[in-house]
Amino acid sequence: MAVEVAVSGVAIVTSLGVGPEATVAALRSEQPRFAELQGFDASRYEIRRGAEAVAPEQAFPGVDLGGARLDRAIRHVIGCIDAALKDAGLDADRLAAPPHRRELVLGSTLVAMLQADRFLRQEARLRSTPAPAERLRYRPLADWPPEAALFRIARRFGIGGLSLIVSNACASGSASVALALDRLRSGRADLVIAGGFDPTCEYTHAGFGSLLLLSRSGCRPFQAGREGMLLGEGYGILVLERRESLERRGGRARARLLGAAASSDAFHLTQPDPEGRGAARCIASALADARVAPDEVGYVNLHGTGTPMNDLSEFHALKTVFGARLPQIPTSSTKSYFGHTLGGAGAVEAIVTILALQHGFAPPTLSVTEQDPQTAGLDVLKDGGRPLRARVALSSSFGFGGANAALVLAKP
Amino acid sequence: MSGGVLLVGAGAVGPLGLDRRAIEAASRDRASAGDAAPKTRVEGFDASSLPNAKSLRRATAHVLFGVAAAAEAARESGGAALPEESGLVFASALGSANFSYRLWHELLKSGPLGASPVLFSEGVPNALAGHVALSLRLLGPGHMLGGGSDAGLRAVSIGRDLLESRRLSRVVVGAAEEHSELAVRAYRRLGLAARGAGDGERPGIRRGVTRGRALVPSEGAAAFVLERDDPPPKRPALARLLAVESAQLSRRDRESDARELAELLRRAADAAGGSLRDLSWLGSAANGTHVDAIEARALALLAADGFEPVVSRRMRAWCGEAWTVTPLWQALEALPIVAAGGRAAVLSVSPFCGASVLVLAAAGSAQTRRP
Repeated sequence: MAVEVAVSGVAIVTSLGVGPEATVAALRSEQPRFAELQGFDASRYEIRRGAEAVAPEQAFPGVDLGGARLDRAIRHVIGCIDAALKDAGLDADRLAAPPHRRELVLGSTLVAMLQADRFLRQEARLRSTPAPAERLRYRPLADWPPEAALFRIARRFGIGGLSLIVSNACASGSASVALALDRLRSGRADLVIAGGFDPTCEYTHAGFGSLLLLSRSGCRPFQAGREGMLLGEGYGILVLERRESLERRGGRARARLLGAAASSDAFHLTQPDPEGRGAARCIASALADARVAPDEVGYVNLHGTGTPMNDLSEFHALKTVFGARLPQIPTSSTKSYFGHTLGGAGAVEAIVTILALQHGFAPPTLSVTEQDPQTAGLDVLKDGGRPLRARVALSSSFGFGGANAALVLAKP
Repeated sequence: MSGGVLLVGAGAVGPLGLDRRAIEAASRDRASAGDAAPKTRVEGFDASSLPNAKSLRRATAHVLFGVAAAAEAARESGGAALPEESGLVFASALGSANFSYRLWHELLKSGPLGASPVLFSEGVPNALAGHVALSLRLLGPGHMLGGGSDAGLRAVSIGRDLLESRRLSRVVVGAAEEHSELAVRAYRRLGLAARGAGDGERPGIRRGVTRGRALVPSEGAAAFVLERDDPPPKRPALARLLAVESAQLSRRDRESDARELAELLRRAADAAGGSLRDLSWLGSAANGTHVDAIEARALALLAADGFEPVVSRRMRAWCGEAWTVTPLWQALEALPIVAAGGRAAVLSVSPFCGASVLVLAAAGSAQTRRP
């Protein structure tokens, strides 16, 4: 018999707020949460908007986040893991699984990049000063490597088993959940803390800007004439356990993780396959892995970045998989609320998908006034969203490097 | 579900040479490291003969090394092309740090106009995985792992998981690193890298010592093709993958770390379906840092259990510390041992004490015991 895996706890931080309840309330309010970026001096940029979260200390008052010197993103992750374990009814200091069978699989593209940011800014400043009075401080670089982040997080939560940073670009968050599923199914781990995260920073803002992928007119996935995306800060953590062990300890599941898959486009390093073949293979594999037929899927949380090519590629992938049934499946891109959270996106949007199933509410895609006619047949939810009675939903992510990942989630 | 995973192809690029035969020749011909400084840079590498060379013309060095190693491993695994559904898992500790550093500098100097789209897109963390998929046309799951020195072995672990869970026929696993002046500078200032490290002035690793002073950063790549043993492969396999186990040491104190490392080695031997006494050879994690003392103490603890393998510290003495890559080079060093019927383990411990152990045996030996 197949091993069932449950999502027993979640935590989420985006510009919408902190935690599942705040997120649901904000999704129902149908207000995008973008503002002038504050984390760096964006005044030099034509596009200055993004979706930043509150500071970690504000998000998690009273929680030991490791000290103010620790990278902002890592402090947020620590706060989220603490909250997700509590949501799962677990005491971080008294986890039942032995340390070597507790694992950590996190997706991120930047990890502690803000530390490198600090170092490089100081270095540049000192280089331009003829006789600098201060010394270049290398300490921030010690916190930059992904292994430093893993170490600090693992030690905080007594995780003694495998720990990974998965850097599959914008598919990192969902890929990490997919890998966690394998670890639980194989019996190699008893408890896996999985998820994804990325802060906003000048490096990515400038980089995506240089590729002309940012939008002046806001994030409007699947809108006719859309220009691109806006970046957001996002953290999503899921506590995953085998259903059997969850029930044995008397816990309750927020959702079931029925299946997952990943695939490679092998098409281009940064451009999606216009026909969405890799994405289609990934979604079809995830459904097969979940033993779910395409006509059982009742909601799709889209990758939906808002870039002209990405949205079209995703549309073709969905059409390939769902065929004539596609118009009957409600879909939405919640990036229209909180931007593209990069390595966080897959996990953040998986949690949004779980909340949609739990609360019976499929959120709309904001700011879409006229859907791109090239995506005709895709039911992109608009004003008001829709009540949702579905039991099974799909969340998918596609990234640079031709990396794809998809998750199939269901009500408990 | 079968637990049998075989290594059916291998490839490498490094300071010792531009293919895996160079490492094998070094293992065979150089009984000891001598007193020479480690070689730390890849020399004479020509990217023009790589598959899909045109799309690699702007790629960063570790991507080129990684593609070369993966292509060699794929060729050896029995054919011009791997099945399209094959997966891949690569690791890198430093990744595209050079491109990121250059982009940052341009950005800070020239503002938004200084942001180079080439540096940004070729500098994404999974450029290596993306280019390997493109070059070898691999359409299965493609994962890029960040982390410390032992992330190369963690890539092997995830590759093994993909074979078992996803029923893939083949997975390419590997790691790649390139020389980074920024990393060398940072490691020196943090007291981890030797003075002169990276330019070959002086070896930072003293052979056989249990408490080193500093490591010597290096570069290169290694890759393996993994395959399930059902059905049996058409060509002879290089080795059987018996176990890969990982842990995060707590770093409370050296004694605790040593005990946890000893426990990890016991777990790996157990997962391999045997005991520590069965392991006749160990590729050491010692790299001239605090890791040396942790490993030495762990081995002393395990000696009481009869664990007294031949411990090889030659690889880093020959060609420095190439982070995620070195343990995979050590796995290549172990191939003659397993071919002769021995069981070999490779241990890797990163500066932040992420630790992994790989256990290999002859292709015809017993299968892995399931957890």
